[in-house]
Amino acid sequence: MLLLALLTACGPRDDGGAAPGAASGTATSSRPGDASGISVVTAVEPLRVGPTTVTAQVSDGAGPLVGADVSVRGDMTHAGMPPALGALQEGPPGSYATDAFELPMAGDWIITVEATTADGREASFESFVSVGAR
Amino acid sequence: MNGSAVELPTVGRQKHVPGTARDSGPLVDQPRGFDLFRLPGLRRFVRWRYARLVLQVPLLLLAAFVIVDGLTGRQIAPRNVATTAVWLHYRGLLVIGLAVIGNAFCAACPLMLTRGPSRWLAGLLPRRLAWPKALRTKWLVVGLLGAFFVSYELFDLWASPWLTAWLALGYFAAALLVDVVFPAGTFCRYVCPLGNFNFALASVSPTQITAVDPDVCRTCVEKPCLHGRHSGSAPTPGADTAFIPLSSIVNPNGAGRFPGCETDLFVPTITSTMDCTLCFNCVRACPYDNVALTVRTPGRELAQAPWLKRGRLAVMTMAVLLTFWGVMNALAMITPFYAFAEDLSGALGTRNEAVLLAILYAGISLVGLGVTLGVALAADAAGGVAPRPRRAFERWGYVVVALGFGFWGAHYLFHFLTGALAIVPVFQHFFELRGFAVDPNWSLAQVVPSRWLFGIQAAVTAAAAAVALATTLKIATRDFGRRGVLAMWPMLLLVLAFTAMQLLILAQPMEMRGTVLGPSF
Repeated sequence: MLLLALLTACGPRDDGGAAPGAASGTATSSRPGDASGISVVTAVEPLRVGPTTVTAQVSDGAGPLVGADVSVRGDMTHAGMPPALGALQEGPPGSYATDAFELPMAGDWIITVEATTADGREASFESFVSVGAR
Repeated sequence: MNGSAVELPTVGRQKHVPGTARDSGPLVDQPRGFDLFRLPGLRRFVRWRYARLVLQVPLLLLAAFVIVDGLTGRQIAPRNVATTAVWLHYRGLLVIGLAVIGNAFCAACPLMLTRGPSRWLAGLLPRRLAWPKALRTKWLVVGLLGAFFVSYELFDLWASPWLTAWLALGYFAAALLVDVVFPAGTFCRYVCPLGNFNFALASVSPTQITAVDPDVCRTCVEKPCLHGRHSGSAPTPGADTAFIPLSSIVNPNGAGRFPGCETDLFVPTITSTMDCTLCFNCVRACPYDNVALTVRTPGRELAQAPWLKRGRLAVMTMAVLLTFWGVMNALAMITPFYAFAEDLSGALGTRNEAVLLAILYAGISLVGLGVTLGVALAADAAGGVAPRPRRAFERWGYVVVALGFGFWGAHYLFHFLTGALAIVPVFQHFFELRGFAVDPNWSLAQVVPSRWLFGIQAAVTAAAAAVALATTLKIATRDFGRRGVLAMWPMLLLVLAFTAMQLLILAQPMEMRGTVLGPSF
């Protein structure tokens, strides 16, 4: 009980202040650089059930980051649905995208973009989007 | 004792005389199916003093994970043990347990492990208080259940590991507090919303506690299954239970104190699973090893009007409301509901979700109770009975209870089958977050292919409808004789209409949002 009492003082873990997305259509969110110095601007378009496109503009203080490994993951706010997973391919410098990202159900999704740079820095950014029914 | 217990004459420890008319045979109509305790080793295990503890420890450990990860883990519901275990696995396994065995989750309830601390703390009080007479009904539980369902939607409990952990902690604290101040079992019977949810739906379950030989119970003086006993070589001074020497115990299960039923159920008079936590105290306390867990036809008790003897109107109201709150719980996950909520918000000029949810739940409660009562009165009228609303409601409400089991079962089973395997990566993630070299396999989630889900839900719906139809036929023929062929029709139509509505709702594409207005962030 003492342990549990101590734990209650911890409060919920801060996951990084994710930015809310649009309720429908297109969602774009951006996060300033964290400790890794990396910034990501994420867009999910269109916001619908089924295949959609995710783009991420990855940069740091020196400009666009090239050669990064960037992946995306979608979790519903409700437990139980398998996550949607995807790997983003690099296009123009600092721009990564995939059009093979599938959101299988309408509802609220937490979109997490993870980037690992060529020099080993890692960063994770979350945004929320609400996907309407077909 | 309040409820179904039949006060037996104290006849002393006299030998039963077989064949005598007044003191032989069953005291009530109990099922006489296969006794599951006849399965090899099961009776011996259940009679063992620590049997319940063995069932409780795994859930206690799970509760610890829920609380720790809920309070300190990542606050993303699908990646947290709290939200995954509570809102996916607990609910899914609950309905599977109810459908296959009975009230299995109350049997393994870790909250009752507070019994030790509560007894110790109660010893510090001058005396335990009696639970107020006015609260010895299910009305308080009705209110708590309603508050829970509204809170579930209002605070998005399903999406918040932190709140889910606090809910679990609050539950432990409430169980401890109530059972310190009031007699043991008060929390289970009069307070616990989850337990009472289980009690109501277990009425459809395929098992029930019964007496192996009712005549043994007739001649039993101490009724240890109800009051408990202590056994050994000599009585314990100041003991609060009857002493039965070890030499008198059939299939002895050790010395010491064996508590009786904390919810005041007397085995040979049990006709319902209402208030039975399947704790098996009665099995252990019975000195004659005369308690069975009998297989019965699912829903058997629904046609026996058992709640007329235990709880009456409050119990029936709770069970009928649970059916329609189940409808609301599923409705709140499909697109037409959001459109309706937006319209309601516009009409009322408020976007206060608490207000809207209160109105929506009040509305469906009134509709549910009103439809049930109206159809019940129509059935009574068709059967040639003068309109007596309460009697009609208490007669026919069981049909709606069977339907409720089907709705909750189909809904919870959907979520469980959609994501049950996610518990593996969620636990992997728990340890990964805490520094272990584990790589969660997030591809694990679904138990069955998506295309099977609606078929399974439809099968559950059809099975519950079959139980409801059978219950209707039995009630009609039981209470109306030949006019039963007329009396049954209004309820039969209700069953068909409800089933069609259920299938329609379940066939909608789900929108796992859960909030009334707008996104949950």
